[in-house]
Amino acid sequence: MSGFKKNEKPEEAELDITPMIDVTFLLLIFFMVTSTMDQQKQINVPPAKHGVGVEASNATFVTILANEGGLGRVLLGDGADGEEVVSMDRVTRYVQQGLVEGRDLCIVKAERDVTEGRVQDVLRAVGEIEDMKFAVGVQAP
Amino acid sequence: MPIKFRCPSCRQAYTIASKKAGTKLFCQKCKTKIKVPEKSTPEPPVEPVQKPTQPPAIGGKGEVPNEDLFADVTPDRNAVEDVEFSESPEPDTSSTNRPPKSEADFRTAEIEVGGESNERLSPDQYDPPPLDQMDGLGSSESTGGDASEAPSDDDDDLAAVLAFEKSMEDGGETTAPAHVPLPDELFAEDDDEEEDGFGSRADDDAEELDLTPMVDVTFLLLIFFMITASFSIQKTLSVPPPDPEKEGASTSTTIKEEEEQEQTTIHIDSRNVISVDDEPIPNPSRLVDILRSKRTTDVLITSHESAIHEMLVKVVDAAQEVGMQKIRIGVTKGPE
Repeated sequence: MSGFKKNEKPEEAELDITPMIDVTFLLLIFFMVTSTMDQQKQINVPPAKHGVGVEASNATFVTILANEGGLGRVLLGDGADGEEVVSMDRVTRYVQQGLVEGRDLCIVKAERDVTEGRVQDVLRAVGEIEDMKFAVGVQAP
Repeated sequence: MPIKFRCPSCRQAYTIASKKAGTKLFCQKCKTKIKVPEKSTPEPPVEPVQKPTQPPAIGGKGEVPNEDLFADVTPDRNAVEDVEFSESPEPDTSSTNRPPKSEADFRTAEIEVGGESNERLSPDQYDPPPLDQMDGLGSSESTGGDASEAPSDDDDDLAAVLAFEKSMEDGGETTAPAHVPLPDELFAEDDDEEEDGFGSRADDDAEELDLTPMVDVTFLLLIFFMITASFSIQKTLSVPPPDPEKEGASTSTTIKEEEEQEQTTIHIDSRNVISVDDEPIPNPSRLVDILRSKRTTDVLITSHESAIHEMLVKVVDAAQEVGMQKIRIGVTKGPE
């Protein structure tokens, strides 16, 4: 029967993996809830060390993409799939609409190679609205 | 599901948890080394036994209300009956306690019978084995060690693993084999078990869910979400609003003329060269040191309209790093 006792020991040494599963599920749920698939990664905003993280949910986005002429394409909304506009009045109306809906911050996400004149044009269009806060979108260096 | 099998040499029936499949054990009865099979060996189906007719022949008492309780769950009915018939010539040995009315009585009867060679126990003196002698693998009590002398010292070991079937040793004389499968012992772990104890017994033993695939999938999902996660926090740099009325150049010039002593002026020209107080800075990484050496809290940043946005952000970032209180931005047009 000694042979049997040898068999019994590894049986008792089974690892209880239940707490590990619990923790894993917790992490999984955490990441599922907090993650959003990032679809606007292709916007190459300039880096800055002192950027402040803001909640994206109460901000209106205006995106300026660099193009060959250097002037930049102005798009409404966050990301490269927004509506492209030519008139700065349209930008003003769009941001005004956002303010009506409670978003009092406008984030202008301009790519690095956009000329400053174009960025200031957009900022000026946004600045026509009173009580509107501004920021330019940056990324961590 | 527990595995049911029989010793190949002596046909002793065993029930063992399925996790013991493939292990080698010694038969408690005939001491041969047996290998636990992977699956249950097929048994003939168990029909209800006509046992209620039997007890009067043995014990001389007909009023046995629970007689078919063990008869119904007997997987080893043939063995039981064989022994019964062989023992029937001597029905009188302990007729006061027989036939068994319940499981406890049944055990008592067996003990008394087995104890004939040692000393006789009255039913009150009999203590059932403590619960800790039964382990989770579903062994029944090691009755062999309690009452009869036949099983060896290996009995505990084997009983710890095996759910041992013992037929009842009903003749009581030492001529009977030391251990005859006792049907109720197979289910003796739960005293409350009903006649269908066979099925529920199989449920609470050995029906462990294998969590490993679920853990694998969960880890996969976890890693996927960890990699694709982007916490939707937009980093921003606050900039002062441009003057909506005038062009930046004229604004900045007036300010420059008025407050030149107290503020630092930074200009970014059309070739993206930064100048601090009209001194060009070839290495933009030194901008922070230069601004700190100026010891002012106001900064006016003018940028040519064709300079790129990155340079302005870089200057504003540097100004915030040195703690500039007031940052103004203007845009110049023209050749420079």
